Amino acid sequence: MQINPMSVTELNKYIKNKFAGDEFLQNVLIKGELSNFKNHYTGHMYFTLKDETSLIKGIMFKTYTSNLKFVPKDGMSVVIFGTVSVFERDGQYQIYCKDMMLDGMGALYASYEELKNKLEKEGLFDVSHKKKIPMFSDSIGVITSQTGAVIRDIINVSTRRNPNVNIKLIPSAVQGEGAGEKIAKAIRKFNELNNVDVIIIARGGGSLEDLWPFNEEVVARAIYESNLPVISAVGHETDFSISDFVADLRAPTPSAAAELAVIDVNEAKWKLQNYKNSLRVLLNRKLENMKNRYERCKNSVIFTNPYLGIQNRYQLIDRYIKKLTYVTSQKYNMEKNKYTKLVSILDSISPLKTLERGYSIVQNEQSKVIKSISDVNKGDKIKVVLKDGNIDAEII
Amino acid sequence: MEKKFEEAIIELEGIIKELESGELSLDVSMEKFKQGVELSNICNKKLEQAEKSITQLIENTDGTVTEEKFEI
Repeated sequence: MQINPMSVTELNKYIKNKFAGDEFLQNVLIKGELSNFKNHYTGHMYFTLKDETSLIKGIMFKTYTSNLKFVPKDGMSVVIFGTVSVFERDGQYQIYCKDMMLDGMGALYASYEELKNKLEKEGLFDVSHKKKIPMFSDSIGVITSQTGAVIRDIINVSTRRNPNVNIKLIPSAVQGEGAGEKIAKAIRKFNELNNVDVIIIARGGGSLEDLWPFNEEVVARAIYESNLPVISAVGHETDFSISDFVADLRAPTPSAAAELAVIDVNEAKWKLQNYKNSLRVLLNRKLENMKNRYERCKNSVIFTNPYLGIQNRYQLIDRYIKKLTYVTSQKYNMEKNKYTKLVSILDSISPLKTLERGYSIVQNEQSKVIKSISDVNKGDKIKVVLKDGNIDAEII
Repeated sequence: MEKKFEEAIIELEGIIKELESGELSLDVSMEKFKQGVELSNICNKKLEQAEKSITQLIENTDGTVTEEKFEI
């Protein structure tokens, strides 16, 4: 028997042509909820459109996206106009969207908002109720799926920061029916066993529906009632689940949760070493300070020259004596000058000076000065006083 | 009851602040220094004494929990 199989490409091409030939599929109007929405960097948008029981992949090319009146988001109910065709490479039919309209809020999103408002009013998000995450935890409790990237990321980050970390995992489904109840139960279990210092509830990224268990009231209440601090790390940085609001701390990603829960041992040791150094430096500074003060006291003149006071007083006395001597000698000199001056005046008016110039004084025998001829008689003995002596003479 | 890591480190930071002020007497400074070194040793010990273990807790049908080594 001759077999003549066709290639996959040929088959997909055939199916694509079938779709293209169907008038109805060329222009369809469908409504559904957006999920897995991705705004690709090329400008095209990729998403899944779904209802309760079924889904279809969709794409909206850049040429059409500029006409959008809103920013599509996961969970939104939308009405789409487009063409259903086959993407040959993947053998997948999808809707090629030409226009999209908002069809009210998505049902899930609405119930999320409703529960969030209710719990917020009840005070489940109150900051005052939030417990502090311990700086150093001996044991970390993790609630997530035992398979997949999340637990791996948490273990990797945790052991990198603290090689001796102690992690306890309570495996739990993190999406689908019953997952919320399981997560809540695990939180209560950790509290009952009380064998960890902090709990991380974690899940990787996904659609609003995938993350739904973390938006369930039962999880929110279990977190609120937990005596152990809870870190919520659900989805990507941009996803906010209700568990994030109730938890004592929200981590943008599971890896970030591990960073928040597990101390970086090297960093902590380095810090401690710094503290130790500070202690030593500060004590040394204190000692140095005290030593300086002691030295200053010791070098004080009171100790170095106890007799200085006495010496100073001796000096003072000496100074006084000097001063006294000076004043006295001043006085003496002044008087002496005065005397000398008087003597010279006296000298200038003295008769002896006249004798010097050649004059003489004539005296009688009684040494009385003879001033007139009538003072003498013939035969009187007289004395002529000259500058260098006397001449005895007789009146003739 | 042994001191918790963060209690110890907060106390240690307080002691350093006090010493930094320089207003303590020499005796008190020496005492605080001793306390500070003890506290940093406590913290260091805490960081070192943890023993690596990665386990998963499995609940048995009777409600008891078994702790098993967890391998990815």
